[in-house]
Amino acid sequence: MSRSWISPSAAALVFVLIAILAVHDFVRVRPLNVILLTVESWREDSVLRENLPHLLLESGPQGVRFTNHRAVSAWTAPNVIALLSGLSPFEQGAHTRGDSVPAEVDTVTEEFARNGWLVAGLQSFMMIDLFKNLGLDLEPGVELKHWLARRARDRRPFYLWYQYLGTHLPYQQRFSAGDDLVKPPADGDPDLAARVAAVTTQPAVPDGSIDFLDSDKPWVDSAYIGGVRDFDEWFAEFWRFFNRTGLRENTILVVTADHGEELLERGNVGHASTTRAAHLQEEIVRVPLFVWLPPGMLDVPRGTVFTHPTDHSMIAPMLARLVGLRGDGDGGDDTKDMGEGFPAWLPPTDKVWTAITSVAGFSEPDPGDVTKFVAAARDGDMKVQVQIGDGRIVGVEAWDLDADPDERSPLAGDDPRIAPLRRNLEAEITGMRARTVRTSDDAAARGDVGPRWVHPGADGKIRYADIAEAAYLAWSGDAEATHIIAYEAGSGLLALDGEIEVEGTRYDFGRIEESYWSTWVVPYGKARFRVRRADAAGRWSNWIELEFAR
Amino acid sequence: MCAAAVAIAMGIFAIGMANSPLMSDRRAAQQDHVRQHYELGRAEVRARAYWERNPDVAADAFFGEGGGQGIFGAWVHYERHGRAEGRKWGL
Repeated sequence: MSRSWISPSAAALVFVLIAILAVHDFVRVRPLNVILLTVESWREDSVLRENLPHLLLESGPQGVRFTNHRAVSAWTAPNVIALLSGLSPFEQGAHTRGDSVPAEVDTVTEEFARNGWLVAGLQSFMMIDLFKNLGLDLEPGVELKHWLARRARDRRPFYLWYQYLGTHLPYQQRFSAGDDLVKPPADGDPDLAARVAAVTTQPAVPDGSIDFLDSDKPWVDSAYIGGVRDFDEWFAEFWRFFNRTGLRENTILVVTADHGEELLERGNVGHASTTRAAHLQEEIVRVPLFVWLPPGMLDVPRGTVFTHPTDHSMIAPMLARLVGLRGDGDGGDDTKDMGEGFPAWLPPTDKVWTAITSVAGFSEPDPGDVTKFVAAARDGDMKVQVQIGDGRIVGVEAWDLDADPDERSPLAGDDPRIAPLRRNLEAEITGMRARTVRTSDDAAARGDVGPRWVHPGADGKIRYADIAEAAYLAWSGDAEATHIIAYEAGSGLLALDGEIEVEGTRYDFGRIEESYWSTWVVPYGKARFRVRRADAAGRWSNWIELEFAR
Repeated sequence: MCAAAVAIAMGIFAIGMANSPLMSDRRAAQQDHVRQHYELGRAEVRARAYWERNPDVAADAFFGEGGGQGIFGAWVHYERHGRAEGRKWGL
């Protein structure tokens, strides 16, 4: 080849290579990302323009909304597990702290992970046993926007679950001049001051601890709504980020709540884990649901509002269909009563809604002995709620939601519409998965002495500054072994205890935000911890006692 | 045949170029926004400087240290309010 041909040939080769890359990039179908944003304790009836102007006027009209959506339990974990896994709370085996979905049960998020998606969570509370075996790759403490910016660069598809916590008790009251929120009256009444303090400073207000009055409802509602309005501001900023980074173009965004919240409808403020007196009335289970698909993918008009019944268990299969992991026919018993042309990705419409909760949710007094549950079923306007003790139904109530949407007047027990839903619940309860709480205490003891605390090395007071950079527990022992940490936190009505299973000799809480520390940790005052190898029953370390301060 | 293949390749190449940050203002803006949130160390230094200069923002429950926007609260405040109020961004 003559020399004069070398340069043109090299240039042609480079051009062809670039063209091949361009063609490859052009024809490649990029898997869609998923962001599941769950908002703590968010009620459907709070979704009003005056509370969520951004959501309803700016971002909402670009997606679709479901106004007849229900949670499937009365506290966070079973609802989030249902959203991620597609398992109903009867199938999960997760009924209080320490429980997990059994490892052998396949979940939709694990299906995502197996197919190349990075299934992730960024918040330290996600490290608890309840969220194990869901395929979650945890990076606790990483900033949400930073993590998403990393994903935008590395182009690996992801499925992110993020929980907005700011709407949980205690309600942060932020009154602005001219707003329509009702401030608690300041009349010097010490009982009123105690009621206000409970709602605005405590992360839990257990049933019976405070005697609320009917006259408290306006300011309790307002305190709660203040948090919902803060969420709208937070989401407005997230929405801007979501669009400006281009994530909107290849990401499905689902925004819903873990569960709703009682605001004195039955005498309490909160939900199962905080009142410890669970129920599944509409204020607890009716929650918002918004879905945004990438532009061009939405096959119904933007801003469509669907009023047919949906629930949390339908979201995981819906997402699997949307990203192409499952065909339209793989949705199990999906049928729709909508007209022809109804989008195939939308959840089914004729399913009987069922739900179940343990009476105290995460805060069960003895996680090894949970025997009381509340379950409910709804079909059309008929709703039945049952009390369960030792595996059988011990009480039944029913309402006609059309005639009595606030569930104030239970139907007579012999109403013929009750029996079919009761039978439905009996079948679910009979088939309920046995709880998977650990029984490692029964394992053979091994080792001579318990571990020794390395960090912190002694009892003491912990301030936020001490844990701002790194919050962890560490102990001596075999770094390859599984260990159990036992904890007891708080006292009186805020008492909480449980166990955490850890691989190795360090438990990292991840980066804890100062607001989280002040709101969720400091109110418990003190906590103590001890640790042992999982296979060495009785060989505990000494208790280490820590006092929490701002 | 060859000419057609090259023409198609050039067409696709041109589409790719048009959609690249080099040629598309939209893509460039997206990439810039991603970079702003990717370089966490730099973002943190600037946020701390902004909060130090503006203690009212640092104490805010939404834009401040420990607020719901995390380390990006300072930048969000600057973009939405601070610039118009004449506050300074940067070191």
